[in-house]
Amino acid sequence: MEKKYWCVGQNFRKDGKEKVKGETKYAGDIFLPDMLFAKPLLAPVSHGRLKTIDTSLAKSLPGVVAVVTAEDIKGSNRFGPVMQDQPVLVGVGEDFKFLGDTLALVAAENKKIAEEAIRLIKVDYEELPGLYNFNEALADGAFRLHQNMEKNICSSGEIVIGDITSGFNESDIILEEIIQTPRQEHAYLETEAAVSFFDNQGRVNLYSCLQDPYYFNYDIAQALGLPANRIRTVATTAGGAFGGKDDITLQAHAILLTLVTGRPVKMVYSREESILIHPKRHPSEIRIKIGATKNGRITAFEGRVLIDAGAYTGRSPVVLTVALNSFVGPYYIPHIKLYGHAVYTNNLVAGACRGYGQPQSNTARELVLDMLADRLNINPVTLRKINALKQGQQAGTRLVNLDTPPTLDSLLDQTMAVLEKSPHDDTPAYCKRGTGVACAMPLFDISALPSLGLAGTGVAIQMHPDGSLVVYASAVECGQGVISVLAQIAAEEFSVNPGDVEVILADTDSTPKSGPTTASRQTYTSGNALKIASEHLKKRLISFGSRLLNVAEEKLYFYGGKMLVKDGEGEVPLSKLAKECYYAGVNLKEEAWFRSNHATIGHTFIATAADVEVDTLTGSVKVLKLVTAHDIGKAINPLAAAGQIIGGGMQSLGWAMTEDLMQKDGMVVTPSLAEYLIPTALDLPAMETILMENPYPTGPYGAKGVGEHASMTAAAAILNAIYQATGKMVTNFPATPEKVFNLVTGIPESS
Amino acid sequence: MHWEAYHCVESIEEALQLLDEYAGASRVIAGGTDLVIQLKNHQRRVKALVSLSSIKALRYIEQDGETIRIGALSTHNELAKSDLLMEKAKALSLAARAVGSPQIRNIGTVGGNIVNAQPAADTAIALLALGAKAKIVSSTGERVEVLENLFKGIGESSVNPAKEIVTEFIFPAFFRSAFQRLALRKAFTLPIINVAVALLIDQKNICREARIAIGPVSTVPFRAKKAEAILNNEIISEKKLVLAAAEAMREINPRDSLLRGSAMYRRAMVKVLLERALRDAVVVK
Amino acid sequence: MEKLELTVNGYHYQVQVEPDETLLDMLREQLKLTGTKSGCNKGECGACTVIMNGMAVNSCLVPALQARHAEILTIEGLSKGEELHPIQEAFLASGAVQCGYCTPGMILSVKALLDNNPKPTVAEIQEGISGNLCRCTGYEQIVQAVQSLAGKKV
Repeated sequence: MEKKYWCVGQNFRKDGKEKVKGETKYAGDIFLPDMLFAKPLLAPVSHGRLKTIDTSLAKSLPGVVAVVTAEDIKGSNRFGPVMQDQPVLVGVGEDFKFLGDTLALVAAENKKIAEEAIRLIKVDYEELPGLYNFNEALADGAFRLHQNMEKNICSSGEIVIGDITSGFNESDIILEEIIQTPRQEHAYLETEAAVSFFDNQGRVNLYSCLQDPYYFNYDIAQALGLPANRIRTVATTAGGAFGGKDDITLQAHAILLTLVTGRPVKMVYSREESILIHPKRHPSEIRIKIGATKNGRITAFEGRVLIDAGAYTGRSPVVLTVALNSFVGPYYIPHIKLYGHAVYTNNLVAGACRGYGQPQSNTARELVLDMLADRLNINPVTLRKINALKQGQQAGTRLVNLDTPPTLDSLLDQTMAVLEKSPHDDTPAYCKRGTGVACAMPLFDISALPSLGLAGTGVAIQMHPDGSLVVYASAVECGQGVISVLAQIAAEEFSVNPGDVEVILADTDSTPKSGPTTASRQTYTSGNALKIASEHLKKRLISFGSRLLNVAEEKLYFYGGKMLVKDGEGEVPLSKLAKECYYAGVNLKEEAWFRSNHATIGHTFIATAADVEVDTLTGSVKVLKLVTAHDIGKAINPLAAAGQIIGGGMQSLGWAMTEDLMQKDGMVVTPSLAEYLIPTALDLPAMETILMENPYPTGPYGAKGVGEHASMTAAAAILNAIYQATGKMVTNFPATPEKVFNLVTGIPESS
Repeated sequence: MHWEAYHCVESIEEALQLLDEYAGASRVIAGGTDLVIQLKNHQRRVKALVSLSSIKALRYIEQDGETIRIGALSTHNELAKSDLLMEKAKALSLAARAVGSPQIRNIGTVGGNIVNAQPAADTAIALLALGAKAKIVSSTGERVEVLENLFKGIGESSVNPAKEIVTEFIFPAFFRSAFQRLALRKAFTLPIINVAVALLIDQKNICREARIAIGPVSTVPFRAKKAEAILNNEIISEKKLVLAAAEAMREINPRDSLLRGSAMYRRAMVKVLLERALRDAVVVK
Repeated sequence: MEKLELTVNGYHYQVQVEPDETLLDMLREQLKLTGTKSGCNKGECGACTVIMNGMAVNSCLVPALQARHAEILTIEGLSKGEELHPIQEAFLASGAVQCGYCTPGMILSVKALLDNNPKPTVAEIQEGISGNLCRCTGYEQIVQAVQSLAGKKV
């Protein structure tokens, strides 16, 4: 039965008015008196040894206040979320390992002087040979990027369920394929920006777009040799993040320059710097061997995932873990063997990017399923239904227990029903139409992985003496709408107008640690923590109210800004109740902690279908329609949820069609948004989104995560549609016109 | 510093005088959509800029008998919106629509696009096919050049922006023309290949003049003269169009490009796009 | 430094600018109108879009001195006090705002589009905003917002 809610399930945008008026302050919009502007000097080549660095000329330029190098750093000069192996600044005698390494920093009175001073720094270096692909990096005798590691393997993982040999023995047909996925750039419109300054206690304040204030705070503190409580980190409203702002970039630099100069410092990356420096979606090479019976029952799945970590560890070990744990996806396959490696190279560092390894492994699997369907002569939708997980069956990961009935069949039916309504207008004779489908079982709140230890989420709520509410959480608003969702949850709990709830986000001085705003987790984790905190606060109010109104606690409830007595015998407005509490010395601030249950990691189901038109003479592909059905649990804010699915779908479309942050021998072929092509409005297909509400037992109001999930299926649906249209699979996307043309005309790919 | 002085002038005379005063250290800027980026990137250096954007007299698109005249400061958007061009010079109309973004088309000018001398410049390809001539003035006089003569290399024009100003493009109104373009993204990106064709077909269906331009397959916008020769003075037929397109494919010499694709692919695309453009031009009147 | 006179959001300004200062930097750093965003500084993203003499332009590509005597509309000049402009209302109602960074430029491109073409087709809307990259919304809800305005006075 559908539960009636006060404001959950409604559309609400708390930060909308300021955003449409251009009033929202992003980090780069902050101007402080006496503020300096900073610029970085980046590595001249992908791999080399820094022999000397001469800053004298730069320092002598009028208007330059400081030029700093690694010598000026008092701490470890190393940071990283898993292994602290990435330098804040590369020191003399050390190696720079990729194009995004920073060698020196300039702070000057304005940005023009800072830019000029950067060009005056003289660097003497020895260029070293580089490792630019899996083969080079894994070859016997290859030099090691990190001397403390035995090989260039950053991390490895393995999952074995059943017995893979007997699984293949049970199969009638075995297919083996290799899928290569490109490096993806987040391309948020706001490049990284940070402002730092000293406050009255001599502590450094950092205002910057970042996804996890507590992580940044402590890791920067140790890298620069400060106690963590001497830094205050505030995550500003981010102009898009998608995982790309989950790792430290210029934040440590801005703080360092404030420490050296004593003055406020602003640092903003150019687009080109942003593209070189922040971690990308890992390029991957995925080998799949799959066995099935003639009637379409998959018996064995063996897969190897290689991901290019780039020069430093970053988050690659976790990305690999997640890629492997989502590899088999929403299917029941009795015998599986999954393994993989994250590999160091001198390419750009890779890290978190919407989906965290899941888009790579899910896309590869879904492409191979369509090829298998073809070999078996079974409809691709039917093949997926035959193998869909059922409750009680073992998923392809031990992290997931199916605590609710899987919904894949229904999602597939709904998706295909909408897709088939797509009108078949006049397609020229040289064009071929095709429809494709792809499914996934996205994992969310993967930071609940025991290995991460970041699972806990704190949120606080306070009622002021006038009854108004403030929520404190360290979630970050990066466009997804968490500020609105938290306001809605508090408003739901206390039955007040969500517009009247204030939400303070992401300030290490005032908001509890909430873990990263990644992994589609904040609605689920902060939402749960806020519900718990609200319940505690309500309980206290009810206890006080029962004495005030002289009625039993069980008779009291909240509605429309008041505390009411059941059966209509009296009421007290929250404003009066809170005031009474204030004078009675009752604490009206509650903080709660939510930790995901490690027995089962958050998961859901999604199905996407695409309709494409392929110009067989040019290889040009037009995506005509994209339909996604998502088991969302409960949409607390349907418009925002749909926005995540559509936006994620378009990012995935870009990944499938045009986006490839291409490197050739270490050089970046696509250094700016003129070459690295994300979709424009003219690339938008007809979009349909189906939100299937199927309340999740442990989610707030039944809500699940949603932020990343469409990025796990849209690319595969599009590539499968091209396959259905042409009979050829693009196994190394993006599906550029040339690749599609070569496939349809049978031209072998040139090296 | 990118540049030390910026002058907005109201007339050509004023501009030429300033250019003379700077004696080579300044250069003309029109919409600036390419030049400002090049200056920011330190790809070009200049002491002073002389902005022509306020010279309204150089913004017109008009028919003068059998000739179309376009003021060199006409923006891409003005070209794209012109009914006259859509009717009489469709290749240029479509090419102007393909340039950059709406914002770029609002300030980028056709003159700037030509002097910037990129081998893939959409309007350059169209104007080359349309047989345009450019009127160029300097303090020492005026010259008229066929468009081919303006392109010397990638980003290198024979118009000296420290001395000269392109004021006008002139081309015949009698061509049937068409434009085709292939790119990685549906908008806001440079072409993999772009082609423009202009045909003069008489009442007996004989092609009196064929002009074919292709980019970016050379260091300059490329004229496919051998392909044109296949059509010239021949009765137009599907077979001829296909032969001409195939000939164009042979006479170009594109390079392998990691961004734009292999030479082999782009050669093949020249044929496909040319066939489409030629068919379009033949059908349309 | 050179003197520049221009009108921004209906107000007359007289400022001193460097000869090579862009309109974008002048608006953000001198007038502190930070609603106009910088995304690439090279005309590749549209975040810096403002309306200059009735036309959408990339303010990062316009030398400030080129705006002499020009009428500039930035996002700060669109609404009147507390009352939102219909385009702003439509963006909110359709879910066309996520991170908000492309939003000011996007809204101004929509304004320029609707001023010239009050009833655009879906294709014309897509074309009209094709110079404004948005990475969050995937454009669909923006297109819906503009469709909801067709024929209305903006």
